[in-house]
Amino acid sequence: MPLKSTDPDVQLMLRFKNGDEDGFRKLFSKYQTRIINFCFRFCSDRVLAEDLAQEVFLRVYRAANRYRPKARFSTWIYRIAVNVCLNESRKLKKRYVTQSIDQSMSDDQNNRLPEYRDENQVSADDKMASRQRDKQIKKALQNLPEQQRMAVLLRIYNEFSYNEIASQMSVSEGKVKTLIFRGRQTLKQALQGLI
Amino acid sequence: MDKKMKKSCNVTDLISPFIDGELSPKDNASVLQHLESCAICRKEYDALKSVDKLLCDIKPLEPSFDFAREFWKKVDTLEAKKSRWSILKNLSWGWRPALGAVAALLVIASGSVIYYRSAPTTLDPTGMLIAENITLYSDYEIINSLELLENWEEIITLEEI
Repeated sequence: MPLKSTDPDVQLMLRFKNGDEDGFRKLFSKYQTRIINFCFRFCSDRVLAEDLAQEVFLRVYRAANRYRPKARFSTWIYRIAVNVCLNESRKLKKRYVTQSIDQSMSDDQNNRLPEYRDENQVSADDKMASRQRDKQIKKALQNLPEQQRMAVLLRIYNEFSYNEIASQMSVSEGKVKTLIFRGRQTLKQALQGLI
Repeated sequence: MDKKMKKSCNVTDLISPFIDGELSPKDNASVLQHLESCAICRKEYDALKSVDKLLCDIKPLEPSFDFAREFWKKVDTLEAKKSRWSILKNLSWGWRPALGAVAALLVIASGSVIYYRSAPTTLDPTGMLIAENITLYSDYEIINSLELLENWEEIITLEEI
């Protein structure tokens, strides 16, 4: 059931639904960096992250006519981002498995995405900023199973409640609690030297 | 023995949701109180807080200079597709009565054709005779007047009277 929301972003989306494109432009400029970073932290590939972020905004754009505010706008847009990232991850995994049929797999991490080329490492600007520590943190994050990684990202970077994360990931709150707990434990082990 | 026991604590599992503010007020208060007295849990709490901090310390990416431009290009493509569709849609709505009439005419016409093609052809005996002896067709007038020939004698008699 649609709620009467005081969330200013919901109001912008409703304005867009009623034909005011400026509402969407404001949302786009407000969320573009956040969504790119969410996708980047998930897939660790800048080019792919921007493609995924564009897909997220296109879905928002297309969904305007059907939009019914049931939660905060941010909860809704991140739900779309979660779906887009997980879909892409499934596609990549499938391709990765197909390509790897004749290759010996030395890496036996369960549920682990292939290590994509980190565009930051080749970008001149980012080379300066990239430090060993950051690499280690990114790697630790990439080594988390994707559901744990997703839950950790939504909680730690975007500060969503367990209830919101459950809705975004279509799982129970209890599962979210477990995913975040396990994710933190794994990260703690992986980043032992930095803590 | 005592040292071994102190490696874990019942409250440890609650530290992650405690950090996230996801415990009930009662549990929250008890974890808070516990942390003051339990060194193991305090250590765990500090470690998990450090993990969060390390993750948040990574500098976020800025969108590339053409990110927005590329996105709006995609939107333009989407809009162009949409408008092509809407033209088709409007066209079909505007022409709906005419299209309906044409469709009805087509149905009637095709129905008629089917009916006439499938209807059995019934020929009168004369027609049958022509069909069997098509060469007689040129003498159709004579054949059609055979009845007169059959009554020829009577006609002559009548003429004689």
